[in-house]
Amino acid sequence: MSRGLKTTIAILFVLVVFGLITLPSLRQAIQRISGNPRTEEQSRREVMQIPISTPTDVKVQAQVYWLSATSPGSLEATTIELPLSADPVERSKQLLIALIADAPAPNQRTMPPDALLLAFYLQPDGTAVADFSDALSAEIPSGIQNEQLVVDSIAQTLGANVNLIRQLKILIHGQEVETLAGHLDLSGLFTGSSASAAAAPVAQPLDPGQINPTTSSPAQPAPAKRAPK
Amino acid sequence: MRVYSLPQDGAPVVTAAAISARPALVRWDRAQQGYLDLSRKLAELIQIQMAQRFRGSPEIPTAAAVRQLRTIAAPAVAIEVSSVSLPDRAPLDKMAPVLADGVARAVAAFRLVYETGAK
Repeated sequence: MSRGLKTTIAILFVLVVFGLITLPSLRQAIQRISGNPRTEEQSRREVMQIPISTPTDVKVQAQVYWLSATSPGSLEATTIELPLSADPVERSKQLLIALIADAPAPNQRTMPPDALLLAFYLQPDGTAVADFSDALSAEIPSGIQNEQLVVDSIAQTLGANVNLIRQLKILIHGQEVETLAGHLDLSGLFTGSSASAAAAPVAQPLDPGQINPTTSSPAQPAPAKRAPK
Repeated sequence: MRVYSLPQDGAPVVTAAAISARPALVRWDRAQQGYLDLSRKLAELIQIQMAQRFRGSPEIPTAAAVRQLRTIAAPAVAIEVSSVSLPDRAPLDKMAPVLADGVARAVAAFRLVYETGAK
């Protein structure tokens, strides 16, 4: 065996050993990247939607309305500790940012993670105006119930934690839109008061095995939804 | 299976008996306002049929601001079968005959209410 061949084999052996040593860490890095995809909107959120902090912030037990973990088609109040401002506008912003970003689990979100709160105003008559990015309407599943749950979670979260808000107007990217995602009318105002009227339980997705022409279920009555005026 | 009708929003409600006396022109996006009570009644009848046929359906219809209902100058409801993002629509197709039968029975029952009220 020539000297050159021996050298080549030695170099290849060193490279294989080096590859074997670095392979586990390389695999971990790939898994980490693929398991936590970061969208452009999420990256932008970290830049644009920095947590709001004011001098009057006090940690309080806030009620935030996300989807119920046990009944996915209904809302459930979750009490979390949040630093909330005494100023109602800043307080509302803090609550809505928490509503978007701090859901206990991905399947309890009511709003897409890419949605941004662009602006929030509160008029003297108690009319709140919340302006969200396009992602709110573009990324929620279209459907009356889905859209109603989004609006209910916003209105009930604000209603439960900000006393001054009487009604709510939702804008998308600064514009009034006809519907949230094709069904729910956003041209009017939503009342933002009571937090008690969580959405009703939901009819389960249709399963042929569930069809029973002769018996009725012990369904619970659905409370009337708040609606635009 | 949920049935929706528009909520009452404080607008004057016109009953079926007064339909003939309605003004000829109304704002297009307020066309449903005169039919809210009748729409609610129709929704109740359909929702009862759905509750009898599909387990998990509520027995009382839901009031929701469905945009498409606002411009209909007649009793109108929306029936949401399931999320449109459901990956497999085959189970939905199988429900169609049962759904249609329920709606037909409810509309037949509603016709009596409507005609009685209109007289």
